[in-house]
Amino acid sequence: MTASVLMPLIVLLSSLVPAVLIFLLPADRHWLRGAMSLGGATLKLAIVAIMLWGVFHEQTYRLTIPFLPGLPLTLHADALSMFLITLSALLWLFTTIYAIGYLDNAPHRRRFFGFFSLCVSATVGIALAGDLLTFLVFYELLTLTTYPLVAHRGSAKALQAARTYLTYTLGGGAVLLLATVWLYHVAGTLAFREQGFLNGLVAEQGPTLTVIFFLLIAGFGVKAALVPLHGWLPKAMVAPAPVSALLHAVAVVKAGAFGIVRVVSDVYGIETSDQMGLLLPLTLAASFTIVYGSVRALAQDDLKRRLAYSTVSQVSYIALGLSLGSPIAALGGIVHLVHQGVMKITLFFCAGNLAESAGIYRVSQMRGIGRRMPWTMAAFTVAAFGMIGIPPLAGFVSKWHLGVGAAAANQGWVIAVLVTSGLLNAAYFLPIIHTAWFAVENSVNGKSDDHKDAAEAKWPLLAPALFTAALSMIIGLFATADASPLTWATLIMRREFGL
Amino acid sequence: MSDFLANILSHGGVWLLVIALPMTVAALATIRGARRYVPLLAPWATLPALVVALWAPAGVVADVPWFLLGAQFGLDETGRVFLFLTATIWFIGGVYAQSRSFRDHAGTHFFVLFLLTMAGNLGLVVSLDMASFYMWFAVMTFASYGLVIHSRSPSVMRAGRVYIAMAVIGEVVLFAAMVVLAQSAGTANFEQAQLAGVSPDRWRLVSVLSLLGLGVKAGVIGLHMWMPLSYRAAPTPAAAVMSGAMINAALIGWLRLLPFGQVELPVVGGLFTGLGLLAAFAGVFIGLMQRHPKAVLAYSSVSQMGTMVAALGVALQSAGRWQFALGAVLIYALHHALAKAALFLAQGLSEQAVPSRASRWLTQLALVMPALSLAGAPWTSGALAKAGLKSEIALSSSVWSDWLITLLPIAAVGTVLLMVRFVCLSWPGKAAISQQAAPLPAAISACVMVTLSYSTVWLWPNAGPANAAEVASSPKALWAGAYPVLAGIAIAWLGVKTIKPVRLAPNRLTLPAGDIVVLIEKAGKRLFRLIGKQAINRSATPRQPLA
Repeated sequence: MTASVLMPLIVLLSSLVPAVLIFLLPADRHWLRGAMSLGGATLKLAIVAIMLWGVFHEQTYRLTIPFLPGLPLTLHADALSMFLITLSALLWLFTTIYAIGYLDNAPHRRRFFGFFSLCVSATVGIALAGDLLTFLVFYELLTLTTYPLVAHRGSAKALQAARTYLTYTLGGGAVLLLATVWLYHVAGTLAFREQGFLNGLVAEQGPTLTVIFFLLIAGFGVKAALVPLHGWLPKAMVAPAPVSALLHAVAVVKAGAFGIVRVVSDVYGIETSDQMGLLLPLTLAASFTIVYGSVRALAQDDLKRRLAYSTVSQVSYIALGLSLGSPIAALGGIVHLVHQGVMKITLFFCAGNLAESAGIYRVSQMRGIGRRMPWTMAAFTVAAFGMIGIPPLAGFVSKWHLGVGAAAANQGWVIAVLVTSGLLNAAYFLPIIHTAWFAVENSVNGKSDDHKDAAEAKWPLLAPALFTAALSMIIGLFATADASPLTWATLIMRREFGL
Repeated sequence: MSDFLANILSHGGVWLLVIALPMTVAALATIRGARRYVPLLAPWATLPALVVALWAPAGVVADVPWFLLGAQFGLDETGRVFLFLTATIWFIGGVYAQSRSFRDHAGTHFFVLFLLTMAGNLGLVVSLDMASFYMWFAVMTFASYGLVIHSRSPSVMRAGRVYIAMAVIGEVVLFAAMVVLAQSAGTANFEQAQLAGVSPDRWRLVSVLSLLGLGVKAGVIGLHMWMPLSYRAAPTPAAAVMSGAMINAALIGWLRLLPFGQVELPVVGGLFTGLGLLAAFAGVFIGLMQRHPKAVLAYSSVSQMGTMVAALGVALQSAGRWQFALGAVLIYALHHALAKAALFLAQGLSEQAVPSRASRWLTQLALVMPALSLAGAPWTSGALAKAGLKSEIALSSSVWSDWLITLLPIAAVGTVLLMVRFVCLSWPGKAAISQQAAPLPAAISACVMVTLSYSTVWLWPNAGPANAAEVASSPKALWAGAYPVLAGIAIAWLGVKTIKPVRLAPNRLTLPAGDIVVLIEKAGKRLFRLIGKQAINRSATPRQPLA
């Protein structure tokens, strides 16, 4: 076996093997379990770093595993895979540290960390999938491995939310399976290719391909929380904070968005789908989702629900960027895959800290908490400003390219959507920041003091939040540096558009 | 000195150091032992910027490709005027804030935000590309929220809400203007964008968007409502830097963004001029009906900025004389910034008790002198600025220039009336002599500000037309400066003497500060009641906390 085969395998196994071992290990071996999780995460990150270098220099990493007759599972690392896999490897490491701190002395830790590692393995599979079938297999694995995490608390509410989640995602999965089989029947292949593999078929099979396109988008739209398929996401907020963080930043929601990216750019090809007129409906759906999610977020007092609706809105930036048919807009969309992940995970880490250290679940309970937990709230503030799109934070870089791309595609109304979204983001994030830093404590409904015992979160909870907050500033401030997400996304775009 | 500065300022990092120095000082507040030095160091953080403004040769530029989307910082003659006035006003405002009331715990908070706002304000002046301009602009806007709501009373909180709502609207519309221009020009560099041959259609779009986006900061009529509320809410030094320095962010934004001297945009130019004139008059009318001196000053800013926006509109219609028009606008901006900051500091001083009659006279002098200057009385900086602007407008080829020449003197009479109202409202009464006197830094800084507001414009190299100073002291110009002042004072006197309601029940003739914002708030509440009922009902039922 050469490095080319070995690398994808190690990346996959670096979380799969710990997962299996964790299940085999006695439940009270906390230290060993933690060490295995962290060791796997560190190893993964190291291998991913090597692969990044390799993919940049056009090395091939390809691993095929026999599966169906004529249709093996293919793991293949292209520039786009590396984008998601780097994000997941990095954020998995932080979330593991966070989760160890968060679940200190909580029950069912073996189950939690086992499925947690499986969930990451599925994400790695999705990122590395070289064709639509492989993608689908890991996509469904992700659905199944996330279910126990959402249901983790075991309360009636958690079980109900997990059921809703399963109903939605399995429904989406069924649609995807149908579309994939149909597509294989029409095209005879499912292997992803830069600029798509359907160019030759458009003339004969135009209408069929159009139907398949929308089936695929609808299927992926469930996890990507495109309105009206988003209903499961706010409910899934009952999951513990590290799960929410991973769900919203790299795993489930991101997998849906990543699926849309794959369909548009590597199945149909951005230019081909543009010529077929498939993109405008996607632009409309994404725009609607962006505005709708923000409007709903406004009305939520529950912090995690507000963040959930914010995710609904923000993830659709990715689909929006791809749907405009302009390379710059697509760049903005793709780079938001990473930017949204880094910022959103910060927000969820902070929400978890507030719940753990101060028992705060609602925005209205946050009065003056900035003085008690200055570092947590500093991280929150940075990420929230990034979400609004304020420079020098990551969100600005995404938004700038989306805006320039919309102007290039002569879709002025999309800029209006971005402006509206910016306003709404400000309208639901700034009051939180105001409440935390400027509002006076001690006067919530006459109650004496909501959080007089609150102290800053402990280090395993605080450090990941601070790091990701700093990262969302660094990748914005140095957006044009050699190793920045923007530079990497530019590489993806150059290859996708054949520039 | 100049060579040395030219040398080091060719490195982008040096610019960033100059801008980020206030942020570094602010960061000291996170260190327990260093925290108490933050207030003391705050004013001095502007010094490098001031040195650059005074001694760096024009045209120093540094590319910083690794910063944001590829930044460029530099200084041209436009930047020099704004950097000078920004650094000066922040320095003096910082000295004023050295009084005891700002130096307790809440005061450290105040100074941290003061320094962050300062960094944003300095940064946007020297930014020559859109992304970094936008970044510093945002830093300034959001940090200054904390300055506005410093005293935390309910009315101040309301002012803060109006301020931040309007500011965010401005931010996002400015973003739209910038992405459209960046795409049309294929570059995010201001100068290259101006020269990129963008189509007039796109220029029109960019101009209108920037009129809205930056108009919030400049108090363009219809977007001005936050100004009287915030200026009144903010503590004196904050109000001084907002009204003197920060307001000019809009002006420099327009100068950087719009194709002055390159492309003629008659319709958009007309829009600028029309709105500017409207503001020049509406500011006076609404301002006269204010009860608080700081609100009067805010409406005076609406009016003064209106005059400048009108002049920019004229310049958009006649590209030919741009270099001269630019000079006139810059001098006007310099005059207005320094005079307005001086007025706010003097007003702050007038609220404090004085130790002796002599110092009360000093306060009274500090109130009257910048007021006279803003009114354009002979030998003041206002006289020079107004003369320059008027002669430029007369020479332009705009269809609006005749109108402006006729209307601006009338607006000047209005300004006189406003200043009379302001001086009357803040006149320190006789009982105010006490041992609990105004702190020395405040008194000194107010006096220095007043002095600077008189002298700077006359000393500024190449201020307006070459013989402007000479022209401004000719008998004709002296008369042109004197008659609106005399007319204004006469009208004010006659008004009080002859119109009964003005004399007997002045409080009935008032409009709330922020005028239409009151209507908007009412409409908003009603709208919220209509559509929000459901949401409120739903959120009233307690939810199980989620973990």
